[in-house]
Amino acid sequence: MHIEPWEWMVKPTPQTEWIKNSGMFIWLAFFFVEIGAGMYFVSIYFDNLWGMFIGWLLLPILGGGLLLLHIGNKMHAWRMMINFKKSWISRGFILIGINTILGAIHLGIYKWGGADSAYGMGIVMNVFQILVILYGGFVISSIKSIPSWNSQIIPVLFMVLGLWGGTELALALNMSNALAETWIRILVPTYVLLLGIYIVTVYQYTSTGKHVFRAITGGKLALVFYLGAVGLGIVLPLIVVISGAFGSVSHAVIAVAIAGGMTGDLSMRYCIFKSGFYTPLLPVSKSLY
Amino acid sequence: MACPYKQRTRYEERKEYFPGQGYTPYEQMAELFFPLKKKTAVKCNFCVEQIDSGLEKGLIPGVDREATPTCVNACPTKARVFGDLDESESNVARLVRERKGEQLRPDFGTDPSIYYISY
Repeated sequence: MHIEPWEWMVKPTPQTEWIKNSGMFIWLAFFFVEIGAGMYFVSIYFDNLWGMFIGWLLLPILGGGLLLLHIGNKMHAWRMMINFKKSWISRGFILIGINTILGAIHLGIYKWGGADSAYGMGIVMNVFQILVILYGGFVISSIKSIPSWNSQIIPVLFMVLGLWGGTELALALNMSNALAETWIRILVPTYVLLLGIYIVTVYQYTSTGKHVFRAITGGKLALVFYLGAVGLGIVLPLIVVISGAFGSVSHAVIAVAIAGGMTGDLSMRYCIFKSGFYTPLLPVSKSLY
Repeated sequence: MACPYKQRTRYEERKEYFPGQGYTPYEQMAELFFPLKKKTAVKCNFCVEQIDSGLEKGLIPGVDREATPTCVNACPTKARVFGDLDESESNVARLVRERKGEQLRPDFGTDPSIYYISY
């Protein structure tokens, strides 16, 4: 959409820094960091070493790697660590760094010492995975100039998305994992409920709510929202979850549901990022919107 | 993203001041002497190098031109005033106090050091 140079001062304008061009790396980084942490978290419960290992790799390599790709001067990336008292980016950088190191230690103990030896460290790693997933949501919710992001529901919503995505990946590793199916039966309805609450609160209680709603449900974003976030990301997994409650579901159907869920997760994050509208800088009458 | 006033931008490429008319001589010089690295954050720094240089010479920012941001010096109507807000008798502090200077969007919680006063 064409925006006049001055319009950002008097009209809500969509953010582009974290979704357009190289901003796509930020969108994808959030996704991989959170599902990586989610996968590590659930794999500890499932006693799945491969799941923990893949989750551990996803975080720094895909998540961290994509964030580094976004940075123009990569040799200055270390500067992100030094302002943790004020900067969420700095806190995340340190958190993911510590998580990676501790994860390596945990995996080593698990591999060569056994699950019992790694139990205590596993509890520590579970706490870290929750912190890592929540961190992504807190970064976004700390941006006060984008009202639809400045919501306490965002960290919880992203946490459920991260755990759900991680559980799906863990289920993809072992399709006979009944515990993973149980987790998904809880996480999918929870996600739907939280998403509904988020959309309603954004529409009703934020100054840019109507713009967000129009952006998501109309225009170019509508296809991503209805097909990706709702169709593949909610309806398909819900159908499989409900079917699973009445009988067994084939592995092929589960695989399709997992792919749909992942696509839905990415699509919903894309919609949230794409529909982040800045409030106008100057206090103008809303009738001018 | 962190700046709610959109004053921090990500430099992708130098945009023509007059779109479609090529770079002005000033832009050409800027590219030659101060090339910016792509995908890095860019913002106004109040000509901090100039201010630091002036302070070293014992000059007073906002009073002496050599220790004042260029935009303040350049403004033909003196609409911009620069100085030490913490110095209660400085020009800028008196103006903010007497003319009831206001910050833009105090609800963002950023406590910006830029005040707007009406004449």
